[in-house]
Amino acid sequence: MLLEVKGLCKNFGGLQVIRDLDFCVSEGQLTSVIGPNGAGKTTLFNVISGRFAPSSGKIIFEGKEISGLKPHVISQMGLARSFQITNVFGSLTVMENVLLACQSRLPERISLRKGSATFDGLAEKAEGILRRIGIAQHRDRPARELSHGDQRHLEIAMTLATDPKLLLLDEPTSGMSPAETAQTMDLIEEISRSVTVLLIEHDMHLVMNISHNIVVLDYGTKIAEGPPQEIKNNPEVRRVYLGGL
Amino acid sequence: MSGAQAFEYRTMRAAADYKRYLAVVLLALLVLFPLGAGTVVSEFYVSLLVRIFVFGVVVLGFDILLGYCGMASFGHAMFFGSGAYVAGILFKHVSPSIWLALGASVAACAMLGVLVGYLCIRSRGLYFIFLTFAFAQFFYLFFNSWQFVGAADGMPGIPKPTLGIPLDLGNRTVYYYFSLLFLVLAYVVARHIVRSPLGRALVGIRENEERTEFLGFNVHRCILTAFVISAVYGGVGGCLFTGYQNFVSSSVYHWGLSGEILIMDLLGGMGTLIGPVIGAAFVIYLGDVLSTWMHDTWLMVLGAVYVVFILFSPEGILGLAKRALPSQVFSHVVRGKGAL
Amino acid sequence: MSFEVFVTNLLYGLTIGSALILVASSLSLIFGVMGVVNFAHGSLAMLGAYLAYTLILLKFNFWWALILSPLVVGLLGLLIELFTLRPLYARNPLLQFFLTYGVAMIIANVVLYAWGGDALGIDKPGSLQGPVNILGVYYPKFRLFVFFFSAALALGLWLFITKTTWGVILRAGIHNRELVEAFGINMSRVFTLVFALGSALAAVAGVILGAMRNLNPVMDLDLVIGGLIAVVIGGLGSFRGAVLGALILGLSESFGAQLMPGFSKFTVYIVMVAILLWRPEGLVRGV
Repeated sequence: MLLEVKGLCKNFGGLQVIRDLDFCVSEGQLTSVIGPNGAGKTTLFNVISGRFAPSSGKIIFEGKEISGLKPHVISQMGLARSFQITNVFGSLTVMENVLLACQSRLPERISLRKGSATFDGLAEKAEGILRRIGIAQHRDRPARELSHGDQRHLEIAMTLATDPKLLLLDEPTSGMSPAETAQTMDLIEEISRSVTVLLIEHDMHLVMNISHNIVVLDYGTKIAEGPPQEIKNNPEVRRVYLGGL
Repeated sequence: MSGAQAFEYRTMRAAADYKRYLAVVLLALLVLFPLGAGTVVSEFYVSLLVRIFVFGVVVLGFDILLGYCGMASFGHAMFFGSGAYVAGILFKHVSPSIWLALGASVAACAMLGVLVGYLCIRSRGLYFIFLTFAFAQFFYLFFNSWQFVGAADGMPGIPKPTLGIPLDLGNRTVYYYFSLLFLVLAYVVARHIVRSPLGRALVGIRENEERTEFLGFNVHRCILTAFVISAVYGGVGGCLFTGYQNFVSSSVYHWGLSGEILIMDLLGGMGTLIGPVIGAAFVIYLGDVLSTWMHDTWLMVLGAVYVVFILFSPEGILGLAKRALPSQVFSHVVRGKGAL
Repeated sequence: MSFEVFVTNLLYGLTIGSALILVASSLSLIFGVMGVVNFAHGSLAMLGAYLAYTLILLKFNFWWALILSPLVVGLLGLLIELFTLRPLYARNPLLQFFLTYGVAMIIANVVLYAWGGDALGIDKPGSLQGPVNILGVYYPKFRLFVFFFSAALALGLWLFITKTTWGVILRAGIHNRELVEAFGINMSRVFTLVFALGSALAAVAGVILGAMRNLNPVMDLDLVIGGLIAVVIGGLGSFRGAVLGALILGLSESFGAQLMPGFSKFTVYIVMVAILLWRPEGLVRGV
C-alpha cells in the first residue's frame, strides 16, 4: 500500500466535508476518485497534500504518517499534486516553470552558494519532460500565453518534474475540449505505467478505461470502491450520478 | 543554425557586449570623477555620490526582498538605523575602526532580521506592511528618547572612522572610493544571490507562493533568508552612512526613510538590481536639487513623481528604458519584474 | 487613582476615541466597499483641519467651516479616486496602497508648504467653550460635543450601511462586483462616491480634532495610524470593529498617558503588533 487513508474526517467550522473516509492506493496502479460536485474530492487532495490538517483520522504514505505535515515536506517525500484551477507561474516561461520544479529535487534547492551552473544539468531533464507532455514548442513563451489545455498540461509536467512516487491529479481535464480531454487521458494512462497515480474526476466515463480501482464519494463518504466493472453496475453509484433512473 | 537564428544570436551577443561596455564606461567615469572635483566638477557632487552609493547598497538589499521575493516591507529604516547607531556608538565609545563597526552592524542586523523576520514572515501583504512598520516605530520611539545617544538631538562628536592602513578615511575622496567599492561589492553579491537556487526560489514565491510550496520548497525559510539578507544590506548602508556623516540621530529610524527606500526601489525598477540603484540616485539627486529652495516640501514633488510612475510605469525608470530601446538590449535586465 | 482622575481619564479616552471613530469608520468604509487601505486618510483629515483654519480666518464661523471644509475635501477625494485609484483596480492591491502613500505624501507636503510648520489653532465656537460638570468633574463642553457628534455621525453611517438599500449595495459590491453591476448599478461611480464620502468624513474628524487640540503638519501620521490600528483591532472590513477599536485605542492612550507617561506612544504600536500576530482577523466578526 503506497497510500492509506484511515478514518479521515475534515470539518470547516460546522460543515463536515469529509466523514470517516477509508481507502488505499496500491503502488503501480491508477486509482480514480469520482463523485458529484461537492463530494469533497478536492478537499481530500488538500488534506493529503498537506494544505489542510485532518480534523481526525490518519494519512499514511509509504508506511509513514503524513497527516498534518507541511506541504513542502510531503512533496519532498515523493507526493506531487496538481491543481484543479491552473496554478502555474504565469509570467515565467514554460521552460522556467519546469526548471523550477526540477530544482525542487536538488539537495541544494535553496542554496545561496551555488551559482547558475547548477541548472545546466536540469535543462536536459526539463526538455525531456516538455517533450513527453508535448508542449516543448512553447518552451520560451510565458505560461499565461498558453491555451487553457496547454496550461493544464504544463501543470502535469511540473508535477512530473518532481519525480513523484505518487501523483495526485485534480481534474486534469477540466475546461478542455473533447479532443484535448481524450489526448490528456492517453497521456495520463502513459504516465501511470511508471508512476502511481491518484486521479480526481467527476466524469465517470473518462476514468472507466484507464483505472485499476475506483473510489466513489458522495457528501464526503465513500459509497463504493472497486474495479471499473463493479462500479459501473453499482446501483448506489447510479443513483448518485443519475438520480435513480 | 539557420540564418535567422544566427542573426538573433549575434544580436543577443551584441546586446550583452553593449551592456558590458556600458558598465565599464560607467564604472570608469565614477572612478575618475573625484579627480576632477574642485576643478571640472564641484566637491558637492562627491558628497552627493557618496550618499547615492550608501543608499544604493540599502536599496539593493531591499530589492531582493521586494523585487525578487515580492514582500513589501514598510519598516526597512529599522535596519538602516540600527547599522547607523551601532556604528555611531562604537565609533564614539569603543574604537573608530570601520571594520569593527561593519562587522558589528552586520551581526546586529542579521540577528534583528532573524528575530523580527520570524515574527513578521507569517503575514503577507498589508499585514506584513503594518507589522514591519510597527516594529520600525518601536526603534524610532526608543532611540528618540534614549538619553545615552542624545535622544531627539542625536549623537554629536562621533570621530571619523579609520581603515587601519595609512589611508585617511576622513578624507572625502577616500571615503568616496571606499563606499563605491562597497556598492560594487554589494551589487556583485546581490547578483550572485539572485542567480543562485535561492534567488530562483524567491522569484517562484513572488509569482505563485502556493505553487512553490507545493513543489517542495520551504517557503518560510526562503522568505526569512531574503529578509535577513535585506536586513544586513540595510545595516551596512547605515554603518557607511554614519561613517560619512560623523553624526547620527533618530531620523535614521524615521518611517519616512522606509517610505523613501520603497520609492527608490519602485522608481528605479523593482526586481532588476540596477534599477534600485538608479532609483536611489534619482531620488537623492532630485532631493538635493529641490530642497535648496523647497526645503522639506520637495517631498511633494517626489510624491507626485512617484504617483505618476505607479500609474504609468510601475516598472520604473528601467521599465521606461525598456520600452524606448530595442527589445534585446533590456529584455534580460527587466526580467524579474514584479507581479505588480 | 482617585475617582475624579479616573472619570477624567475615562472621559478623555472616550473623547479621543470618538474623534478617532470618525477617522476609523470612514477608513473602514472605504476598505469595506473598495478594498483599498487609504494611507492618505490622515492627510485628508489634516487638510480638512487646515482648510477650516483658513475659512475661520476669512471670517466664516466654526459651523460653516465644519460644513464647507469637508465639502472641499470630499471633492478632492472624488478627483483622487477618479484619476489615481480607478486605473489601478484591476491590479495588485499593494499597488493601491503604495499609491495612497504617494498621495498622502503630496497632500501632507502641500499643507506644509501652504501653511508652514508652526502649530496653529482653531477657535472653538462660543457656545461650546468652557466646562460642564459631570459626576463632580469639570469637563470641557467642546470635548463632550466631540463625543456626541462623532457618535451620532458614526451611528448615522452605521444605519446607512446596514439599513438602507444603498448600504446593501455597498456591502454586496465588495463580494461580487459583477453581480451588482448586472443589476444595472455602476460600481465605478459608487466607488468614487464612497471615497469622496470617506474623505469628507475624514475632514470632519480633522476639523474637530484641530479645534480640540491643535493643527500641526505631522498630525496626519497619528491620525492615519490611529485609524489603521483601530480598524485592524476591530477587524479589517468590520464597521463596528472600527468603532470598538477606536474606543479601545482612545482609552488606552488616555489611561496609558496617566499610568505610564512616556510609554503611551509605545502602547499604540504594542497593541498593533499584538493584534496582528495573534488575532489578525480582529476582535469583531461581521459588519
